[in-house]
Amino acid sequence: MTPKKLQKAFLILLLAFLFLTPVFSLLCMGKTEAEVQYYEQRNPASLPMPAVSTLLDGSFFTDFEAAVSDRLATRTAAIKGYFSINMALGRPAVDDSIVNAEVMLGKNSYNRWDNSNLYTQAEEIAADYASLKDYVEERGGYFCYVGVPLQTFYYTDLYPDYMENREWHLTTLRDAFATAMEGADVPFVEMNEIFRSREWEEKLYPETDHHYTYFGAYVTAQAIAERITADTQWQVTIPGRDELDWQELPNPFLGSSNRKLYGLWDSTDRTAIAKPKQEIPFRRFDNGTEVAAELFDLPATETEDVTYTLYMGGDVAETSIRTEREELPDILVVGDSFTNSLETLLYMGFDEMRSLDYRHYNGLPLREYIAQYQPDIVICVRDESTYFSREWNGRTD
Amino acid sequence: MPRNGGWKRMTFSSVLFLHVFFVGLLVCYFAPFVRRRETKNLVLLLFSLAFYACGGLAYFPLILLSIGINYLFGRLVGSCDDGKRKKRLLTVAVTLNLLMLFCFKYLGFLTENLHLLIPTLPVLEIVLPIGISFYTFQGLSYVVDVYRGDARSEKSLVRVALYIALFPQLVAGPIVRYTTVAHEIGERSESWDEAYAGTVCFLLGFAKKILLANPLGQMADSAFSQSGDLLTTGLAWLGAIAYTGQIYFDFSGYSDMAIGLGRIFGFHFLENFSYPYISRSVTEFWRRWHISLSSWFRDYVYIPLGGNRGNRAFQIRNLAIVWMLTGIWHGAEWTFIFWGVYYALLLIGERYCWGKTLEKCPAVLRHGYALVLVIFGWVIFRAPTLTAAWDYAAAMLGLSSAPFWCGQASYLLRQYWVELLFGVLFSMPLLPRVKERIAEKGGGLFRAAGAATPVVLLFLAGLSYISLLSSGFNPFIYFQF
Repeated sequence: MTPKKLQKAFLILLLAFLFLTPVFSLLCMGKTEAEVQYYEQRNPASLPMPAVSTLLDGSFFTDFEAAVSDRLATRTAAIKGYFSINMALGRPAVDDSIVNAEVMLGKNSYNRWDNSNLYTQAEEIAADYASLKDYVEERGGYFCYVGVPLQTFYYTDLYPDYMENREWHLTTLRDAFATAMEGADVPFVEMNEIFRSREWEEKLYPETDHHYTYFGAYVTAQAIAERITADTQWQVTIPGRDELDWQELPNPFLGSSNRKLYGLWDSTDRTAIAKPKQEIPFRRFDNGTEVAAELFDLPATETEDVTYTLYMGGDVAETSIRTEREELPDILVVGDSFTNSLETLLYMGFDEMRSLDYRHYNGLPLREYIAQYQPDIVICVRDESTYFSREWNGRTD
Repeated sequence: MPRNGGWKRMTFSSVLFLHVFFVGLLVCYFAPFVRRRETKNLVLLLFSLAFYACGGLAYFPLILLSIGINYLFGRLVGSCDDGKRKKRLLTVAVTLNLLMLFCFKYLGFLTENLHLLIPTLPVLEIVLPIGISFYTFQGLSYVVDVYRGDARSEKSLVRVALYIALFPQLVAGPIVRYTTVAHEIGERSESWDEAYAGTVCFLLGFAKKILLANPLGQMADSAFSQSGDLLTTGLAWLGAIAYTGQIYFDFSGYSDMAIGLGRIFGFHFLENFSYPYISRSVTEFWRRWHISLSSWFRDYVYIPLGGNRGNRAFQIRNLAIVWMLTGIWHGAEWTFIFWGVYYALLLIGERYCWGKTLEKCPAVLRHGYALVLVIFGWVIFRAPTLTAAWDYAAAMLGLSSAPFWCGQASYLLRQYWVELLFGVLFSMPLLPRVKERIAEKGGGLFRAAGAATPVVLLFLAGLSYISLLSSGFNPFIYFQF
């Protein structure tokens, strides 16, 4: 090919790419949108409608750009390529995840801030929960707050020495919150302390997901049961390890951090499930409707990726698991996805276990729900990063 | 709201531009029924105005006003034979242009500072219309060139409008003189060869912007956001060097894209950068940096003020005026004014004090001298306030209480070592030299290089494209001017 012809071919190729990409994008828009939802764990930017104000300030075109970008047929391939190149170059962090470490960790900024107001903030939040505790107790119930570390908070010692692990902040945060909860007389199960109290036979946190492992959830369920038993007249028992059938799934586990990275980080993560050896029959209701009595959304094959939605099938606004054992207490669990794996274990110790996730549940406010349902036990499960949030599952009204 | 923060804009490095705007323009411009030059000009003008309108319609009338004023006064000045009246007309045109620029760019700054002196005076919050500094200067150059007789007064409104609003250089330059493109507006030819050359230029600019300027910008932002004990000497230097790279690859990349796009449609804009960081003095740096701006100030301000004529004091005055204006052209902030003063002092110093001594120094020292001063200049330019600039410079000089090195500096080096390496390499004229060598040798090597170029370009384009889709960080520094 002569240089002239080569140049022409080059231009035609570029033009074809520029012209055909929008056409293909229109044809496979649904697929691209689904990929954005799955991997980036967000909804694609919606196509904006022109309005006088947005046309005047130019935001219509900016929003349109974002919407087009989220629907380009080339998007997934481009991002995968970009991440692969960045990882191959040995960059410490890709897409705000530290990939150059034993486990995938969240990248923190190097900024520092004044920690001193954490104690005041913690007292304010603890006062809210003290009020909620009183409300539950007035109705004959027991309230307990469970704090769990995020994976990146748990693995602070695995950060490379030149990366910021925020240990300086976490130490104060934990102390402020525990002190405030103790001061407000709110029963508080601090899982960070329990997790670090001894060597565990299995990993408590995976390499690539911000939640605890199934074993971490099991330790948490045990800790909750022990605390309830210690503080109340109820004898709550979660079966011991030997009383459960543990099964490690052979499927690769696509943790939330690795999912953002399109599964490119080479992980050895596997997930586990456990069922009581002595069967505990139950019925399951999601948002008031009876559904199949399943706790795990098991993959169809042994090779496909599994995500944390394995547990309870992912987030559900309101779930109820009824074991019809009236001698046992009823429990209401409020929390986000950390409760999904917990629920598959916790139900074993209760007559009915209900869980609410206020990120999805739009029904009654918490106090009204408690007043109507009259649970024997109410627990709030919060990760440490949300201690001071009064939004969603942080609402106590 | 920051004065330059109120607007949005379409950039060349956006999917909307590449897949929608540019594709649409190619279809309309090269459609078989669009044959006449005037029709092609009209298509280009409409797309250029649409390009500007994408930044928000609120300030769209302003560019129309600018076009109207300069067209009208171009006609009036061009048709006037009376020298005095002609000068008066020019004065009115210049005043109107500068008044518009003053109102939208400097009035807010003025009221902000007056408010500090007289607290009862209100502060006006005026959003800077995108590209106003560029199209105002282009409009001015047209009327002045007509006045001087360097250009003919244009009868066609479309042609004047196209000159002022032509989308490649509309919002961030280069500042194209009317005399440079006047002929091509009326007569130009588009061809595969020109399209190829333009595309090469565009893609190189695109790669500079996406692959080098954006990551270096993230690195610079990360360092410049630190202060106090966290801003160590090493981090401060890394941030300053990164910003030095970012501003060059960002602006020269944009200029390359503009020049390339112009060439696809048959226009030949002049180069705006000539490897400024290889300069051996600050004077040389300004001959190589933002050439269209410095030559504009030279021809329309410095020389009319008297230039190098007169005694030393007179020349110093002229230099001081030009550099104050250059500083303030970049933005209505004290940092930009100080930045202009900084360069005025350096240029005056080189011309009258240490220039001769400098010439006798070894080349490596001269390079180092120029580069260090330019880097400190960018610190003033980048810092949000003069105090912040001072603190940052103090950290660079080890005068702060912060230690020399920190984890963040190590992280930045590990994260951006590729961009730093290529940034340094491509700040030097390696490519032109390699091309020259290959051309000298000729034969098989020359043919192989010719064949490899499109392949390398495709690789670069692919790499830039995937980075564009994957990274949300895509600012253009010179859009704020």
